Amino acid sequence: MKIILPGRLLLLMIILAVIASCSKDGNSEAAPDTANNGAGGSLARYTIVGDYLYLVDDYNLDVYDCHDLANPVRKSSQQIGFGIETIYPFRDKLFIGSSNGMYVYSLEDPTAPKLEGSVTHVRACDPVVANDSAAYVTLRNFGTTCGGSENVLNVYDVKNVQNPRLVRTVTMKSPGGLGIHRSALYVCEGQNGLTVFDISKGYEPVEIRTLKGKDYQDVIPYNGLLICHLSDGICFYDLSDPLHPVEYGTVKN
Amino acid sequence: MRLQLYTVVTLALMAVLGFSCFDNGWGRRYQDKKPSAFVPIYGIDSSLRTIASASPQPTVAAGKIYTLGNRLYQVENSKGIHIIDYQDVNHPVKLAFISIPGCSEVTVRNNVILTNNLNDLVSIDISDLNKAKLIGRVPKAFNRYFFEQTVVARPAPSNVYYVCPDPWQGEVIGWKVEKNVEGAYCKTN
Repeated sequence: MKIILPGRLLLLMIILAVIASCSKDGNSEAAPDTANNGAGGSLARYTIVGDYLYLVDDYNLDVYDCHDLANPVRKSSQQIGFGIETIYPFRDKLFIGSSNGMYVYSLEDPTAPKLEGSVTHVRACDPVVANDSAAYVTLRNFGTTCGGSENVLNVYDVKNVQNPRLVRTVTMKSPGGLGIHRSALYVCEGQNGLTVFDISKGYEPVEIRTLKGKDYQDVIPYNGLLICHLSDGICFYDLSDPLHPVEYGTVKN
Repeated sequence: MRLQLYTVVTLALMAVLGFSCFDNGWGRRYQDKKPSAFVPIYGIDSSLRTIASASPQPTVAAGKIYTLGNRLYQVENSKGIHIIDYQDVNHPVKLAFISIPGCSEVTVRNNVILTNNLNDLVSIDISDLNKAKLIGRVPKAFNRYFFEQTVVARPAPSNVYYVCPDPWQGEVIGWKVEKNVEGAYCKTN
């Protein structure tokens, strides 16, 4: 009995997390890839959009004005739920993943994100990425921190963000961090590999291939590259053909 | 807001404690005193708030990533951030390591890293990679850190009972042994 009682509970509440990556799809690529705009992975809790930093802890979404980077000023803080895990910016929206659902916030007023829509799902870990028409959420039950019961990729129709609609569920082995580049969706499955889906056909992701041999945790599609967060470092793939990533270098110890 | 969070956490803790007590019964467990147990010492450890450049370090516990330009920033969980140049993507090179205790997040803008140093939001100027400079700090902006700490912080000896750290009391900077301790529900491996 080495159980740590409150620790166990806290583990549940903590639920390791996620972010927001500025994965680019075809359309969004034009704007962000400048010298001033970076991108994070789908497991992030901090993300920068313009001059604002958005961060989520377990319950809250906080906004900091970072026009003066040496002096971030908190503009707002709102309690948005329980078990918040990840934040992902896409255009003028934030997609926020929690252990029991996905929330979409409008950044019309960048200092005070406004809830536009949400959808609940079974309890699980759930990074989220999105493009103009769909949001992709992975739910996983591996590990001890998530409390989930499924290992799936969920596809939501978000054309009407007020009412995201679950349109497809794909069973996977151990889905985690994910990213979108043009017509490709990349889903990290730890030691089970990196699975590439063709998402050009509406809401029906077609599995194209699974890259093996590394422990994939998360990805950032960026400037034609797929940057992978591995459990022991990083590696890079060329995305000239988004459905056929070609490996470049690796950084480990 | 803090009060609300505290309430939620407290209720949740009570719920879990309740579940955990089926073997003993509620009342008995709550009055259960350990003859001897470790108790956390809370405080501020200033050494944990020192941020500095270092030479490239091995990647051991690879954390979250952020990219900007030709640089990749990767968290070394709870220790700091690796800065990697991938201009030659076939031969990425580690340029430096920024030591940031308790770090788990990373974002970058205009040569400034925004990350968490424990539960503080910090701004670190990396214009000169060899002289990373803390230029801003917002204390307690990222309280999630405390939750992680309660999982991580535990006394060194094995097979001993201890009082589970209370995330709202601050950092655990040490442990003391006390007699007749109530609430020592946690136990080390």
